[in-house]
Amino acid sequence: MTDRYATVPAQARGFQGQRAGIVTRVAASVVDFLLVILAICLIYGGIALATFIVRPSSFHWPKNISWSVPVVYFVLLTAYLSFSWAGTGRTYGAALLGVRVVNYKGVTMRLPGAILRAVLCVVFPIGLLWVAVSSANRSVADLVFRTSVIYDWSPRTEVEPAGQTARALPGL
Amino acid sequence: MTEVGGAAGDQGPPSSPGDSRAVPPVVDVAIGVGLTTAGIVARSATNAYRLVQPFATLVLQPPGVPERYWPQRGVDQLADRGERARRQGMRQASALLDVLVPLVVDEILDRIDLTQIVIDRVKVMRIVDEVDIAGIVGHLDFDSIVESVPIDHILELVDINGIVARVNLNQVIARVDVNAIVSTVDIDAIVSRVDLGSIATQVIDEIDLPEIIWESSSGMASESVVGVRMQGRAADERINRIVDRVLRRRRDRKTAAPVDRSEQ
Repeated sequence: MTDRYATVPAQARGFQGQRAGIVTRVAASVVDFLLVILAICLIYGGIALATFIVRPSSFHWPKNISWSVPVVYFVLLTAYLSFSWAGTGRTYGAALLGVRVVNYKGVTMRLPGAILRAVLCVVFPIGLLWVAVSSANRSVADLVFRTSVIYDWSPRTEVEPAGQTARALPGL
Repeated sequence: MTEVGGAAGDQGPPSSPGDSRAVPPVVDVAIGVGLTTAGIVARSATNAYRLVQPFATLVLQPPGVPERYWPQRGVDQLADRGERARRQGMRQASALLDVLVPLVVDEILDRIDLTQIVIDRVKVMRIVDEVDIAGIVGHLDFDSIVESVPIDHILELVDINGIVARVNLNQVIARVDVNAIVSTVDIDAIVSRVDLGSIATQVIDEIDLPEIIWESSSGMASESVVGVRMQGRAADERINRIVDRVLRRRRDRKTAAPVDRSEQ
């Protein structure tokens, strides 16, 4: 067996593979949230810029789009989270903070489970705070989908559950 | 061994022509006459003794006369007295020679150059030829001789550093054909005796290869990222302890996650 955490600094090898605590997970989630907000701003800014370029004389800031923001936010964040978890097990925030999502087998989630978990996390983000209360460092989403968010500082690529070719971590 | 007068001896008989030390013929004639006369006297005395002996015995040991009155006894007493006197004289002469000989020899040696005589007269090489050096060496016990030599003491007296300092090593090294020496070395045999596998294992064990890989990797491996992660981990632990204390939870948290068995 190769040591998965061989490339991790010696002082951090001891807690690799254990479930992460509330601070690390919240920090990762905040990074992901800000990324999505930035993406939404870019989207709407791009739309406004395109409108200005096409009709600069009659340009005005888009109106009646407030209903679309939550939808875009939901879709964008759900897609981002689900594909990241099903792909490498990490979002950008998770990669930055050195955590990874695994299922009850200890491997990366499949896409359907990742989508459902992402929906729950986006709809009920407060469930993340249960990590602090849980005796096993598990959020509400973890309890529902039998997943774990573990410390994993290894920069190596993930192995898909079906043994598919590994892919590089995003943002690394 | 010593051939005294060897130079003259090699030149043939004394009477040979050209011999400066030749004896006059009159001397040889006188010696011949003397020897002949002595022979005649000796034979005459022997014959006379044979003729006189029966009469002398009759005179010295007359029959019918008691033995103590024989003239023979008087002759014997005279012989004894003479023998005693002769012995005493010999002793006195020996004592006198003991005193005189050293004095005379010293006086003689003071007057001659003995070393020059030895050089002129002694054939050293002939002496050496006669000496059985191999036999002498064969009788020597070199082990005991070497053991009796205080080598440590000798080495203490020798200034090795001084000797080495006087040696021109550069000149010596310049004469050494290193390539020829190396060409005689069986490097393959040496390498085959070296356990490269164990050496490589030792080297790998000594160095923290994962640490080097981690440090050489970019991006997330930067010190700042590690610092943020370590701070997050420390904050996690702190929050966990606070919550557990509030909840009066005595057991440690079960943070062990499922392990991917397919990787083992």
